[in-house]
Amino acid sequence: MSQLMAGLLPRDLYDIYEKVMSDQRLGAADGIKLLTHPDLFAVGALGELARRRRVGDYAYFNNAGYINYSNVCVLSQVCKFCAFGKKKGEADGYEFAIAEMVEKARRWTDLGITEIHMVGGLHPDLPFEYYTGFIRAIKEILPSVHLKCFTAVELDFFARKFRMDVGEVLDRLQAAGHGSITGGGAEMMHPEVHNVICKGKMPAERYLEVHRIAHRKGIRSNCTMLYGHIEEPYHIVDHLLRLRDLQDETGGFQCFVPLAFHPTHTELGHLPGPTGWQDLRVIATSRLLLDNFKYIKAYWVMLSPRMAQVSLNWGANDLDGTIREERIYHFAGANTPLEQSGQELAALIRGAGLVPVERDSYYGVIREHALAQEVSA
Amino acid sequence: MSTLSAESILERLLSGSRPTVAEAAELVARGDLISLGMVVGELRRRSAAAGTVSFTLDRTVDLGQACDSGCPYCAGTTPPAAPGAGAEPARERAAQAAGAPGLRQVVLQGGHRTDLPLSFYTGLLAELRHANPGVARVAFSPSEVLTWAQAANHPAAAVLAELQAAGLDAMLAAGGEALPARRPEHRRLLAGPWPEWEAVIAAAGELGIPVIAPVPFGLGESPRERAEYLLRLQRLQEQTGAIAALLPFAPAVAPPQPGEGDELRLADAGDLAPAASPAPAELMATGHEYLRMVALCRLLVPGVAHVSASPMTQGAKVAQVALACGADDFGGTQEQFELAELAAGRVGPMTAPEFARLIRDAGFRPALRDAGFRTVGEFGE
Repeated sequence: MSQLMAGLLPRDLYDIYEKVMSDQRLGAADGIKLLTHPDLFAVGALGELARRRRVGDYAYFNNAGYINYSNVCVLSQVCKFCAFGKKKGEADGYEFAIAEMVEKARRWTDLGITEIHMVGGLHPDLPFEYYTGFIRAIKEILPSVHLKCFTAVELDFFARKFRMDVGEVLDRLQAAGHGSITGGGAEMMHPEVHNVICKGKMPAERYLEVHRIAHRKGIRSNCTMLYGHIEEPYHIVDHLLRLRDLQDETGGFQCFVPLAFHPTHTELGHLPGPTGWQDLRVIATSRLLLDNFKYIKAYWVMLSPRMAQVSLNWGANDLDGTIREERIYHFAGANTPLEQSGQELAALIRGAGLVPVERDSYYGVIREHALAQEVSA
Repeated sequence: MSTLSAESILERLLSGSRPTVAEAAELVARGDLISLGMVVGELRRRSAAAGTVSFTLDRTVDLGQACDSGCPYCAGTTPPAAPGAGAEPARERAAQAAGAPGLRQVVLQGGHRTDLPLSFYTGLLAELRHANPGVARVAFSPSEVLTWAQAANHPAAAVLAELQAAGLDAMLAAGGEALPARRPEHRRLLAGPWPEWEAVIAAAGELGIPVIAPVPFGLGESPRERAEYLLRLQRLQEQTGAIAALLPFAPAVAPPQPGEGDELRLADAGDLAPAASPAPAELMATGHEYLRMVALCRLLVPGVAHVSASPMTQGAKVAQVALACGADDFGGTQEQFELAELAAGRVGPMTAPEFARLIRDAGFRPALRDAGFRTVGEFGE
């Protein structure tokens, strides 16, 4: 940050500025201050400063496809924020046959995708061989594609349903070709919120334990936070610090994805959903508190491509990917497009003044896109 | 010739100096969003800004798509009408819209028609005023006034006075004024020749008709052209005081097809011809460029008191962030739109409570305003 801009920071944010400049860790009080500060640009300046100091001006996307294998979910009456999950036998419930999933993946073979993201509901009937089966079948036709599959909630469900421990579930999935774990299912960890929005769902401790087990096996994962419903700023800070603690312990998280709540068609449909100011404050606070994460993702499906782009200046450095066919948030009224081309994502990143990089599933560089052409005044 | 860096130019703006065209162009080309926003915030703290964000309750009435001007927005999709065609239905639509309960203003929009006499439009204004005296009428632009003045061989100021007498409360200085001069065929009637255009604004100032100036961008103009346009508005405002508000917006021009370089340039559509299949509307102008433009309006046109955010074109989230870039108005609820983008995955009509919620969430106080941007009261719970 230039001297001019540092001089424009409000006094009450100056201690955070000094901590960032001297690589000191921020605390819970700093997080609350950032989430409630009236100067949105000063918060952005700090988020951008932290991103630039810690990880530079690259922003990432990947060429990925999504397959949501089934929306039938035993928790469909539990998670009030979800419009995706359906009870077994409900009219719009579905489960893809393995052959259908293979067919979807086959259509992507010529598109250069490097990853398929697969999550679904907690299905009461499907056998474990279904999950290992679709992994194996897709790997067969797309052997070099990374399969990022299942949330910690699904993994815990498999362990209980198929009477294995999570370690064994992971071993068998990995043997079939499983790559890494998605971040979903964390919701909001603080019990004051968790007990209202998804009472009875796997608690925070178990979510973290599943990730810990995976990390110890060398399996990488992402993590998320669903915000913009009934939580208070201290709940957000609590959530971020729990993730920071586990990351200190294992270093196994790749990226953190704050998820903007979509109220439409959910049991919390009376809520208005997060505002643009909240989206940006959450992105910046995540970047500033999570000093042991390299990647903070602005997930365009939930934020809209426009807001995801703006988030890059508040500290985000990943726009997710091309996606192709997202279902979960489109059930919750998402009016964002179903896919974005790599060129569109690169253009959004470049338009925000960052350097677009197409990445693989471990943030290896596949292709650095050209820098913005110098515009002459 | 070397120019100052964007950073030094911002420092000079903070110390109260006026930017040169070269400096303004440098800021347009390279001022980064965070720095622009920080400086706008600092200037606002130093000013006596009220801490309110205003809006109004309105409907836009489409007077008919027929047009004699052939401007690039429509790219030939809006041909001239048969003489007199559609006039009666337009009157009925306007009367119906103005009668909607709770409305504070109607905005009349339509093509430039030379087949209808000025008396049609003055008659329409008078009828609307008679039927709904509490609903203000916002309509027409300098180029329409010039068209009628030419047809009647009257001074533009006289035409404007007639419209005002009939019930015109505010005028839109609409159009493609920022279109690059290298495309003169695209300017034609809509942009109008500058001296005459400016004279109409001046006449409006003398008559006390507030002017709302939309500021289109992202039409292929260079940073220098954009800077020149903004500085020109600032000069015009210093001379006339007529402009009540700026309304930066990015017209929905389809981006060019990816070409040889495989580069899709979103905010800088090189060709005004619409593509066969337009890109998703979200991508037409990026949120980032829109927010920079709001801040640039504040920094380079400080003489205009208000800047309107554009929730209809940018969605409620980006429009709310525009309040941090210096916008202090949300425009109108535009109740004819039933599916505006309210929040993540939530669409519906914009309503006064929705606006008030967004304004409060950003730390401002919601206020209702009239057609000339005068506050008529804070908006209660």
